[in-house]
Amino acid sequence: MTSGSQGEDTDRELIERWKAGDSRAATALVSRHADALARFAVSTGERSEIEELVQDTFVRAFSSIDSFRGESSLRTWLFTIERRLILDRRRAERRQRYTVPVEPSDAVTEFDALDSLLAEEAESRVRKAVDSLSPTQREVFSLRVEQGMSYREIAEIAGTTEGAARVHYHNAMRAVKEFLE
Amino acid sequence: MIDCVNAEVRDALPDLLHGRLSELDTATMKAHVESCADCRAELDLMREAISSAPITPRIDAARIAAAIAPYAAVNATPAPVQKAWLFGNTATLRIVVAAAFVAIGGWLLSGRMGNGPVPAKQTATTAPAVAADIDVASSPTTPAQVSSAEPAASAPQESQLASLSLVGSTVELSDSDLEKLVAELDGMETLPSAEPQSITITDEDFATGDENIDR
Repeated sequence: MTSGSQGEDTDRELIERWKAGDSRAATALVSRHADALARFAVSTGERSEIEELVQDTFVRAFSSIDSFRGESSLRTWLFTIERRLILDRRRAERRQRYTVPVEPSDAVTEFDALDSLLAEEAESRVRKAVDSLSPTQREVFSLRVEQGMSYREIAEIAGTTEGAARVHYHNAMRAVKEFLE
Repeated sequence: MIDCVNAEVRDALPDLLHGRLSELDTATMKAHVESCADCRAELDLMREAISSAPITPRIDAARIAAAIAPYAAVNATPAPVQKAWLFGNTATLRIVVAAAFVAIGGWLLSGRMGNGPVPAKQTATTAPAVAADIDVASSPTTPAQVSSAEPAASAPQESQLASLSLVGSTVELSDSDLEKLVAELDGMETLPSAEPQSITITDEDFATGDENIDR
């Protein structure tokens, strides 16, 4: 269970407040986790309707909040729900034989212009290296490096074991290094 | 880029980056990273991966929160459904069930009592073959005995029974039909089709005194 900063309510406290009818508690929970969910969605390759995806994740989570037993953190549970929604969305797209065109330029349109050219180049290479990973490796790499999740949390989200998550992560890191060499 | 030989430290680098280690572990890790070029390079790579992550759109938390239904609305106890008038209360249902049992019991009883002769029309229309089988099986006397021994005396009684009975009788069957029926009954399997399983009790069962023998 994610605790808030000192003086802030924990996730569980906010859930209880929301259950008691405090709608501001829901807003606080969304504010706390929405950005991370959006980042995760983008890192797995999603490019369109990110806010809708995040909203669906929260709506599903809150509608079945009683099934959240608190064995994992709320954030892990939310990531698990979002990941399922992403998979559902991709299956539906596959059925429609429609693929969302991924335009790399979208990712850099808001890139901070003040960054040095060298840094930009290096980061661009790293991003290309990450993008070259297999979907599973990219997902695990994103959760471990960009979200800072433990192997246990990654295993729970990805529906695998801690050992498999660790292997995927180290394979991904090795592949990124090899890409950069 | 070379991997640090200390796999445990390498494994914990993302945790160091995100401040997920204890104070002691953080101090140990920082000391190692300062002296390890490979770990520093890997940490730099991670920072670059984070900073080069695709830009995510701004999320409107208030809009998302507004789309979430209140807990009370989602988990509201459904209002009790208005019961149907006929079986709205259990008392009515009990009466109906009791009446049904009485009717079925009466029907079965009358079937057993209805051994007497039934008018030919009624037999043809209301007496199924199954009912005839039941009567033959349960009647100790043959139809021939009944019809020949007391034809006159039994006539009023038969008419009364026939009026009560819903099923027919074998009295109206001819001798050849009766012989066929008896032959069919003789040919029926009277023993249960499934043989009871044999139980094997070993010495060990006796020794342990286990009453729950796995059969």
